Amino acid sequence: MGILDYANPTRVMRFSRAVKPWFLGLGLITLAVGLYGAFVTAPADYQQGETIRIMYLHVPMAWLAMMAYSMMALSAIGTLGFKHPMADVSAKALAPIGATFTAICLITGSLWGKPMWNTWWVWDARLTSVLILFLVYLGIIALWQAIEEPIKAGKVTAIITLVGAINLPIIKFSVDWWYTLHQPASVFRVDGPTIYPAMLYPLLICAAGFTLVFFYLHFAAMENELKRRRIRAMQMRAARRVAPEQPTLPQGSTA
Amino acid sequence: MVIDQHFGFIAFSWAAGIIGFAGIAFWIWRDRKALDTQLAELEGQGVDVSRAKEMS
Amino acid sequence: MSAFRALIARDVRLATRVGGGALTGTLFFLAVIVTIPFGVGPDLNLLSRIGPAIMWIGALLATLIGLERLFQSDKDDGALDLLRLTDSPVSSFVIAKVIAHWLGSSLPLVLVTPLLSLLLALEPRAILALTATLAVGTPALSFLGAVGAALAVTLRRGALLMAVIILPFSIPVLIFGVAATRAAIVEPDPFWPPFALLTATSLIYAVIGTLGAAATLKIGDG
Repeated sequence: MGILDYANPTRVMRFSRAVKPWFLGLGLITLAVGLYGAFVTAPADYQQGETIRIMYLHVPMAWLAMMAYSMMALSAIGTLGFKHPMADVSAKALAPIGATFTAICLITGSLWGKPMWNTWWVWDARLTSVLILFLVYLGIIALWQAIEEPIKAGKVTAIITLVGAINLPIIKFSVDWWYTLHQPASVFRVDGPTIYPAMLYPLLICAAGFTLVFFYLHFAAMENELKRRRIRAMQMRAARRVAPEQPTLPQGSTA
Repeated sequence: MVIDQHFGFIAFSWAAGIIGFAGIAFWIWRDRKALDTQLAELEGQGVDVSRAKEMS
Repeated sequence: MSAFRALIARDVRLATRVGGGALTGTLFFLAVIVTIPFGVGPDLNLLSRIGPAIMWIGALLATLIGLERLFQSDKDDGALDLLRLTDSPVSSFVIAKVIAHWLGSSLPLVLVTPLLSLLLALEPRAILALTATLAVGTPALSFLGAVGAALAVTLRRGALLMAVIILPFSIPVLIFGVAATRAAIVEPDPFWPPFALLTATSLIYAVIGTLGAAATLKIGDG
């Protein structure tokens, strides 16, 4: 059973409906555990105090914003390189979800920055590139809306998605390449995390919970898109049936 | 967790998170409702919706 | 190879004719540079500090606005359809068009920059750095704009949308260009690191822009 077995829309729908509730349920439970850890068992930070509680939302949102874009980029390769029929359905569903996570990341980051650095915004490398990511998401959503025909829309957005993918390594490594205001990597590092275990575990559990909920949202959005395409196909077929017969020329005339 | 002077920032951050998640979930749900309505309309017009029905 | 050069030569000639894009772009650039001091005020110190940024933003806008119609004439006379139907290398076509556009539209901007810099009271070192960064950075904008132009010609509507999508990607070019120029003015910041990054960005955008524009053109109206 390979990925091509999931080229059949009906099959994908059945899988999605079976699997969706599990993602939501497990996600909410995991989140509950993670939030308990974040607010109750985890200590306040030595330097930042209680504002560290924002990290348990801000950081997973950043990770998911990038993961959603990476999935969009993989879907784009699926569309352009392999012509996988479900790839652009996946990509279209991801765009609004990823944009929302990016927005939450930016907003919570700003709310965290004010007490920590005494500024709502600063044009450092990490913040600027995440803002660019958000703008690219919005542009891709606008592209999806602008093109009527689904296959063409899928191809064009796939190209733009891949063009924008260069932003991802810049976001990830910007805090290492340039000494900027945003703090450098403390979890995904070659030498291992530098964050306290008492904070790391709730962070990872929250991230896992948010990720499971994200998958639920992705499946729900994909179901919508599949339904939308099916309806469109039916509407076009119905329109063709209703269309009047082509008028025929009367006998004996030349044209 | 202790309620200190930064409580407002923490509260607004998590509120933003909740609103964001609720927002996208609501948007997906509303989309689904609209599509189901379209499906019902097509059915009312006599279009064969059996293949789409097996999807919903 | 001669077809490549012929395409470049033709497009440059078209652009530099009266009514072609070159003059309009340069005039727009001039208009931006002349208008901003009226908004900002005549303080020469302030102007010379934000001068590089103003010049860069002017160049950015002038280039992007001019690029939307890059492929329009080819769509109108059927050259794009021909390209799609035969097995011609679309990438070479894109590169030729972009080079021609740069020669015809962006190069005049670069050449006129030293003159306009005087309006903003920039010192000689800044003028030199600014001209160098614009010379090296405008190709990045041209290749980036090619993707937008390909989108404009492939999609039936939303030409403004193209500018919106392309603009975020032009930000790194802007950042490096202005940073390099400022570094030349303000000791002890070194000039070469941001300049090198700008060059790298141009090279990367040349590849990505060509591939992206070629792929988009191949999709066509279908």
